[in-house]
Amino acid sequence: MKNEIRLKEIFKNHLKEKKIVLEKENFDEAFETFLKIRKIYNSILSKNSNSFEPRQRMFGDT
Amino acid sequence: MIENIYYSSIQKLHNLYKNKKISPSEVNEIFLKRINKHNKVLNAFIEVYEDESKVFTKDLDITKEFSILSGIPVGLKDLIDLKNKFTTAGSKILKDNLATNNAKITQDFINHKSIILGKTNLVEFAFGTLGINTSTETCRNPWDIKKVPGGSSSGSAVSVSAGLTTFAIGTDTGGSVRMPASLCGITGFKPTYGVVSRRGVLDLSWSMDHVGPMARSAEDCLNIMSVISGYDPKDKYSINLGKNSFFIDKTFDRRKIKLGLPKNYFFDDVNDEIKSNVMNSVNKLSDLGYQIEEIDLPFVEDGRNLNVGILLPEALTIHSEYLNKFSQYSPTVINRLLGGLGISSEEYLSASKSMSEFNYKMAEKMKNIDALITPTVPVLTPLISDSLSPNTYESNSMGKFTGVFNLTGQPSISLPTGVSSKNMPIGMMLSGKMNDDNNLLNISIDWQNETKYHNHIPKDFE
Repeated sequence: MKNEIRLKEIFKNHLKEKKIVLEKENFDEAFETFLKIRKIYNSILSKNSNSFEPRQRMFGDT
Repeated sequence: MIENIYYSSIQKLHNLYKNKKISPSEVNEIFLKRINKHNKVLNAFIEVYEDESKVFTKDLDITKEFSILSGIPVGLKDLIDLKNKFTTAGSKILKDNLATNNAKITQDFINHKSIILGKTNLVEFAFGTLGINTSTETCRNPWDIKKVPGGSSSGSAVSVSAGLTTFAIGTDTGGSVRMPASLCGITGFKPTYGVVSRRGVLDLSWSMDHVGPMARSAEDCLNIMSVISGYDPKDKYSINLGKNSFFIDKTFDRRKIKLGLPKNYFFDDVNDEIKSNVMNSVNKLSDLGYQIEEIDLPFVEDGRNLNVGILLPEALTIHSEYLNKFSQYSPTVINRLLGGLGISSEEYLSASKSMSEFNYKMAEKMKNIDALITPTVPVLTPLISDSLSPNTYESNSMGKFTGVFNLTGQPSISLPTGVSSKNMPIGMMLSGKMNDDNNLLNISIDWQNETKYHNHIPKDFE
């Protein structure tokens, strides 16, 4: 809960920086997406793929 | 059997032209009448080029040079530039965006004398999985007009499904060709990343965007690919498969084809009807002589997260120039887009490296198999009235399987496999090895020759 309040403040600041004003209903929905993406990034950042170059799709013999 | 012109295959129409059984202007008139009759309800086309197509086909009637796509009606998703026409991306923000050049793919159709009927509807900026668009009016699924068509290439799928065009072009960043193809009962093919040029097509995410055909059959898709594939030096993401990369393989032997059936993820949390339908198709493939091998993909759970995690910051970057017009976006789009705020360059880079690791693991698994078999989507088609939030269960789940193959860039196709108890189409997805597009299409053609599910037509549009 504490973390969510902190993230809400961060999200509000991002919107302010971009001069975006949302009505409550839209804010809530956008914030829900923001939380979802933070969760996704927490999962991505918990893994270390540093031995790979960014955005590779072809790998020699594969 | 498909007998009428609305649902004729490309090859059949081509043969009719060759044998002078019908002229391009007659075909054009038939489709224009059909569009006039049904588009008010379906909202499949945003703009129809009635006058231009009439002038064009009059000239075409007397031409002697006919390629496989000459005189074949096509709809272009409204992210694709056609010179001196608007490319609106289904948005209010780009309503005055006049294209100054043709997209490479548009030029291919012009060079081959296809009939460009118009621009098809889509989710605003191609940013959504269900097909909802409050700026242009949502497209309706021809199988049940109260239900969503799937997105984002909604109008392309609907126009083919209802016989308003022979084929259409869509774009696919997380499944936007394959999902609506599955929901509307047609065939949708996402080629290997870079095989079809994206020059002149509005971006959603440069790492994940693909352009692909949506048609009645895999054979039609193959014929379209034979025209629109090829290296484009003006597209930095373009790759070269070599000349004549798309053809019916006369040496095709299904007994030599190994299909991978994932043990995890792709059959977890899937609607029971969809699961059972796709497993019936797997059994049928086995009965036909295909080798089926169960396969573990322990890493694949990360695929959807990586797809969304990379797509969103890229989309936000592309949209940075429009964000000052935030009130002109429809709520479902802006509320989703803004979720990508605050992702740092370090985080993005880390996701991009994770993407490579994911792709490496997938490439290793694909070494010994020709294609993976999975459902295209895990959920049944929802009602439009239940789909107006960007965070519904169906909206969040719809791209769970398709997005994996935008990440890897593998060729991937959705094929109709019958209907649910509520008479809504279900799709099976086959995803092949990188650059092995022709093999994947030949497997799909063989399947459709045996099953004929692709010939099913929504009853109100027969």
